[in-house]
Amino acid sequence: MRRFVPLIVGTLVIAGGAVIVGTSMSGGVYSLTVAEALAQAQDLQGRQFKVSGDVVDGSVVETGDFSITFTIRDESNEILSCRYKGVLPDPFEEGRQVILQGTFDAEHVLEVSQITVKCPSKYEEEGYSEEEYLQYYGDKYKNGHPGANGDDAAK
Amino acid sequence: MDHIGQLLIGLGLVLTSATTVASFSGAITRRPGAIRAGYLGMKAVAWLNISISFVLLYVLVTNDFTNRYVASYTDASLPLMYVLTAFWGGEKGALLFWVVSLSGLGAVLARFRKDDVSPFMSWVVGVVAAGVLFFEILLLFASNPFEVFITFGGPADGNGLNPLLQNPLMAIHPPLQLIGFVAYTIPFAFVIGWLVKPDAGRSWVVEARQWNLFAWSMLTAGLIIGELWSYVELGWGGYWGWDPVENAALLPWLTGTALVHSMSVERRCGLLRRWNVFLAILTFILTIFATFLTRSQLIDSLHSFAESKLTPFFLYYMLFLVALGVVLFLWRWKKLAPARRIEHPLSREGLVVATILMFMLMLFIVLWGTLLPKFSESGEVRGFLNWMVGGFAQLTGGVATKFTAAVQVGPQWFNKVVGPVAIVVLGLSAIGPVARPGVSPKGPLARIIWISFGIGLIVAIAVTALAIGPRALESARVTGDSTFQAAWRVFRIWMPGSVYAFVIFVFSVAVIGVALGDWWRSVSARAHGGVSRWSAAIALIKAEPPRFVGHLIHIGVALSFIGFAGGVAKYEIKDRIVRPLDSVVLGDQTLTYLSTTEVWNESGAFAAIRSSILATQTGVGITELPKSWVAGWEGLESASGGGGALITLKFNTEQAALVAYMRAWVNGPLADDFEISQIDDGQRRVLLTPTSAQALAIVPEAFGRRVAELGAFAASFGDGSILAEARKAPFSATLTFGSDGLFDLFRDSIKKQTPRLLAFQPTLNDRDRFVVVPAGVIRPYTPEVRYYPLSESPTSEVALSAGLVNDLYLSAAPTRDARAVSLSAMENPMMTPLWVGGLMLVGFGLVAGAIGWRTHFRREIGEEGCQ
Repeated sequence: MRRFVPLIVGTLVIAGGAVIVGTSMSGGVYSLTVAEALAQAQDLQGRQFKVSGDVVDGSVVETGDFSITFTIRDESNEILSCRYKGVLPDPFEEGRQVILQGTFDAEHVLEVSQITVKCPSKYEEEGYSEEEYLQYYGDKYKNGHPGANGDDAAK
Repeated sequence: MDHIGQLLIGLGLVLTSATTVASFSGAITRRPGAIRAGYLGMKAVAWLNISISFVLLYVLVTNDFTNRYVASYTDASLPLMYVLTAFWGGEKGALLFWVVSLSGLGAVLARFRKDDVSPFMSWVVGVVAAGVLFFEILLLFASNPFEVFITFGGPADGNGLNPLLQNPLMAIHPPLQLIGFVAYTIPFAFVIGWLVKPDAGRSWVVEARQWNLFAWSMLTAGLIIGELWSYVELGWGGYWGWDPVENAALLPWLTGTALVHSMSVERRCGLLRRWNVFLAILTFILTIFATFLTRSQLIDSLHSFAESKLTPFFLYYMLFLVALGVVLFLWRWKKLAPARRIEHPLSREGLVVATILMFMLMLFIVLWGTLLPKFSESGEVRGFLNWMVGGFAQLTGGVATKFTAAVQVGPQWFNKVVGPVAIVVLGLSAIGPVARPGVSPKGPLARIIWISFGIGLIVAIAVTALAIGPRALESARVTGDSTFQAAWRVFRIWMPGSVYAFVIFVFSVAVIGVALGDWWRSVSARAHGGVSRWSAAIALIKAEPPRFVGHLIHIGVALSFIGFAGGVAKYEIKDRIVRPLDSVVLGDQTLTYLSTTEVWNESGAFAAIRSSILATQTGVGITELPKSWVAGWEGLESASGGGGALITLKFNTEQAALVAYMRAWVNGPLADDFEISQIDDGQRRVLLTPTSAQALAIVPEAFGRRVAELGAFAASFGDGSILAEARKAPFSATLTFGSDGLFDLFRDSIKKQTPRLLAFQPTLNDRDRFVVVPAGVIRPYTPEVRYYPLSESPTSEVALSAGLVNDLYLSAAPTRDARAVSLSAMENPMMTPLWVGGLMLVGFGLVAGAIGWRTHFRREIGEEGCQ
């Protein structure tokens, strides 16, 4: 009886592994770049997928009862047109990075079912060089700290 | 001051290096002098790091904005408490906190072991010092909290702390979580010490026991506070989202919990020695992995941290640790041979092995799901997975889709797949605590187990009926099916959650039953002759404290699982658009939206948009009206409700109604929103300026709401009677009255109070009545949306009413429509058991660690006679 233990355990491990992997692949949602999504638009018809990018400045248009259209752009530098009906999450704004989940319609416009806006994390400032820091925060930080070494901060 | 900080960090690096060298060389050469020097060095390092912390606190509190860290995470208006917690608000401070806590723990270790001048202990202290050294190197060279602005002298004011972190729970979550991670360095150090210098007379498992329990308790506390914060603060009504950052912290917890159990087996029976070494090393590596995963851009997460400079450091550190662990483990493989084989799967050790395997399985599942997006980016990996899934589909006769892009799984997948494994562990914990070494449970113990499961089954059926009942009845009424068919339909819709929840209730009750039953049996066995049950119980606690505490911890586990199960039966409304006095039904509650105001919070330095929502029982509503309230209305004929929150006030004459209505408006909503700054008799015009100007300065859109309200009431007096106009810069409004009569009535109404109202409809129905919601009967809930001047996005503060069985959870957000809010509400069952269970886990975990801290429980090995 003991001899079969490794065999039983082995079978369970492989079967379990297959179940885990299999369900993850079929239950999962595609995570695509904008370029990939547009390229595979035909195949993606009717299938939910996730795409993230920055909301393009000036692209948000209110089309009526809590509906908007907007476009996003990501590192692949391609633009995706999107449509959303519903209440927007509080941090939603042009220029913010968003994660969208939805499906393509016939015109390859993304019909968004879920919007998540990425927390503009404060961890980010730490990576800025000082010029970037000044540029990012603009005028209000141009005044030097009293006791600074005389350098004019207004760059 | 910043320069002093930099200097001290450099000094710390030197001191820690010296300590590490002293401890390692002392261990190798067995020189007591060097060993003692190492212990002393450890303590000195801890004190030095504490001083560095004080320097950081100093620059934080004095608003030293020349310091980049201070400028990034605080501002002049930040309340003191959050200035202090900004210490760990950013990466550099968190790293300093890591260094301080690790060296602090190391110092405590050195202090308690100061008489133990053995090579083994010296290795242990040396490893801890080496751990501190690694992070100090990062601190000095890559992530220095004392960096100052060079090209300019720093901004005049800082950026402020992320509002989400300005919450007491978020103030303690990072330190607890970090200490949890840090503390696992100690058991790791003990393992490494033993592997390098195995001492037949000493067991690292016995010596590291208390540290391990402390680390586990802290890690558990960190996770639970994180859950609590997410529930209370983030506004989505959940507490665990299976986000990569959350999962990263869960991984060491899974192996750490397995480790607690396997260490207990080795302590008593000398078994599972290889598992213990493996799990202790793996848990430590996973704490580093957690930190790495959180800071790298590896996985797309909601908690977006920017690319950290430290990522490659952590990667190399982990690879080094893995290599070290593998080499040492294989080197001592033979020495770790167990005392005997595991005889029976249902013996204590057999069940613990099963538990460990289940935790390893959960580890794999969580790791897989978290890293899948990264794995499946590669075409080769996808090709392999496609092949595997295709083969599997062929075997089962299903159809396989070919995957063409990276895949990401969501919370539903995690819950679905992790759930069953966790439930198996729950079931094991109904048997394990009463299992004996070497044999399966027999006799009275077996009876306790069977009876407990039986009771569990009955309770599960009852609870399921209670949860499904109301919905089944409703569904049956609507569709005309029998109640039984409707109940089955509801159950099916909720699957697999409903099945999981059912089994959870069976097992949770069984766990509690077994714990109590075992306790009762033991107490009864002792309480014979003249000994009372009570003194027998006390004696038992004194004699076998770990068993008693272990039972309590498992009861905490059972309660937590009941909390998980509760989520299956929740009621939820999402983003329902409501205007004043609209109501929505949530389960057995009716929620009526009343009003919204904007207030400025001075101490917190934020503007709050506060919505008022009343919750009444559906069909019951407001029943009792205080007599004094009713009597306060002049000329009132009747006040009647319709079974809801709205009361209709009917007056004897139209004039009485008009007077009451005007007074209620002028002293209620109008006075809340506006101040009367000027009255022009000639033109019958009133000039209004808004109250809470400071709040409106931050949320200018809110003025639109006030104007819309003003307009709605003005219009309710009849066409053209009162004209409301608004100006945006500066904010102000005017009311122009069409007739002297109304104008005089308006002026007379100022300061003529009516009984207090929560809200009323801007309509004068049938000229002699209007609809109100009285104040002072039921207290409304007031969820808020907060706007911080320096923050980029608002945060929502939910209104939470925690009950024994159900929690009511409300949030309301302003919308682009001036008078409407978006209401989200939930009835969350069984949240209180979840938190109580969590509290028990942490509390009794700490107690378990504290037991026998003087004697280190050396007497435990083999005490129960494992043969």
